[in-house]
Amino acid sequence: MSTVPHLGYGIGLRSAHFERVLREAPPIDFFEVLSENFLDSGGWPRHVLERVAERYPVVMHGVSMSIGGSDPLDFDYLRRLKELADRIGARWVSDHLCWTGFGGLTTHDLLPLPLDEETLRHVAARVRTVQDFLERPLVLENPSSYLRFDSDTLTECAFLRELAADADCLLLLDVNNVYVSSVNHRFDPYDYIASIPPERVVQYHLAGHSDHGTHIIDTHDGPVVDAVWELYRHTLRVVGERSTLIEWDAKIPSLEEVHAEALAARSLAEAA
Amino acid sequence: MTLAERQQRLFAAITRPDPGAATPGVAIYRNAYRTRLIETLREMFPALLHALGAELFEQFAAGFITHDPPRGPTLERLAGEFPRHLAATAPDEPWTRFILELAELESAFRRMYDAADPAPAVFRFAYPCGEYLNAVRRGGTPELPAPRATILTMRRVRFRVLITSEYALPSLLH
Repeated sequence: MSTVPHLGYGIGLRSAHFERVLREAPPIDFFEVLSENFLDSGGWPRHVLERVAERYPVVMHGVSMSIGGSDPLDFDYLRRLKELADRIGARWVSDHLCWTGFGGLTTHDLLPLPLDEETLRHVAARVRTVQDFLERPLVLENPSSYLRFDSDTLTECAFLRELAADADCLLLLDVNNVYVSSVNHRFDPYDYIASIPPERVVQYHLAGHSDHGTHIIDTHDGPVVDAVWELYRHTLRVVGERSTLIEWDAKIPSLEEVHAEALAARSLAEAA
Repeated sequence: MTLAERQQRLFAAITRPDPGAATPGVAIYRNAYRTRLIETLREMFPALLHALGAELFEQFAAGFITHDPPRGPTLERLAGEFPRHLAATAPDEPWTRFILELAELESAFRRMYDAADPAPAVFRFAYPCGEYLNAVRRGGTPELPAPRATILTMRRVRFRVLITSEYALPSLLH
C-alpha cells in the first residue's frame, strides 16, 4: 500500500476552469477527473484532459461502476475506463462503495448498500474481478448516505475494513462524507476514523455540504465547513498524511478559491 | 430478502413517478434522482429551455425520464434520446415544429462538440434555429421566431462548434 505516491493537495478538474488551466498552468499538485465526463468525449474536454495529464499527475474518480449492484458488471464500461486510465497515465482509479441501478436502468446516483455478510461477499468478489480486469488496484470511497437498512449487521467502517482486507483493495476516505453520514445516522465520526485501516487509505476527499437541520446533504457547492476541517485534522493525526483533494461541483467559484481550500488542507497537514 | 430483491424494491421507490409516501431517506434519493436528470437536460438543451420556459421544459423532461429511464454509465445518451421523446409526445401546436427542430439541432451540437473527428453536418429546417441557438449560447434571450426556410451548416473549428445559416425559398426544402 505504501507504494502509492503522495500526490499532494489537488482539486477536481472542472470545465469552468479548463481554459485557465491550459493557458496558465497554475501550480496545483494534482487533478482528479470524473471519469464518466471523458468517456464519451473526443472533443475539447478530452483534448484538455490529455494536455493536463502531460503536465500534472491525474487520478480518475468514477460514479458508474456500481460495484455493489446486483446487475452484472459492465465490461464495456470497464474497458473504456481502462483505456482512458492507460492513455492519461492515471495514478489510480476510484469509485464508490454503492450501487447505482437495477435491471439495466440507472439512477446516476450513489445508492446505499445493505451492510451485512451477504453484501460483503458479493462486493468483494466483484472488486477482485474489476481489479483483475483493470490490472490495477481499485480504490473505493465511503459515500455519503441518507438511509440505512434495519437488517445491517456491520457498520460502514467495519464493512470497508473487511472488504479492503478480503478483496485487497484500497480506500479513498471522504472526510466530509464521514461527517455527513455521522449526522444523518447519528454515529461518532471520530470512532469511524479510528477504525479505518490506515495502510489501505491512499486519498482523502474534502468538500462542502448543505445542513438542513434534520439532515445534511452532500452538495459539494461551497467551502469545507469547520467541523469537517476539525475531523480532517484529527484524521491526519490518526491515519496520516495522504493525497488530499477538494471537490467543488456546483456553484463553482474561481480557480483561486478552490485552490485556496487545497492550500488550507496542506497547511493543516504541515502543522499536524 | 436477497440483495437483488432489496435493490429492486429501493430502485422502484426512488424512480417511481408519483410522489407517494416515502421515508425521509427515500425521499432524499427520489428528489436527487429527478433533480439531477432534469438539471442535466437543462444544461444540454439551453436554447430549448429558453424556448419552452422552465415549467414546460421540466414537464417534458420529467415525462421523458419516466417514459425512458436512463441506462448506461454516462449521461450522454439523454441528449440523443430527448428529441425523439419530444417528437413522439409533443402536442400538435403551431410552435411544435420549431421546438422539434431546435431539439434536433441542440442534440447534434452536443454530439459534434464531443466527437473525435466530426464531419460537417447540414440541416434543412422550416425555422431559423441556428440564429436562435447562437443567440442563446451568447447569453441572449431571443423571441420565438417566425417560420423561415433555412439551410444550416454545422462544423467544428479548433474544438468550437460553429453554425452558419443560409435562407432559402421554402420550395428548396423539399
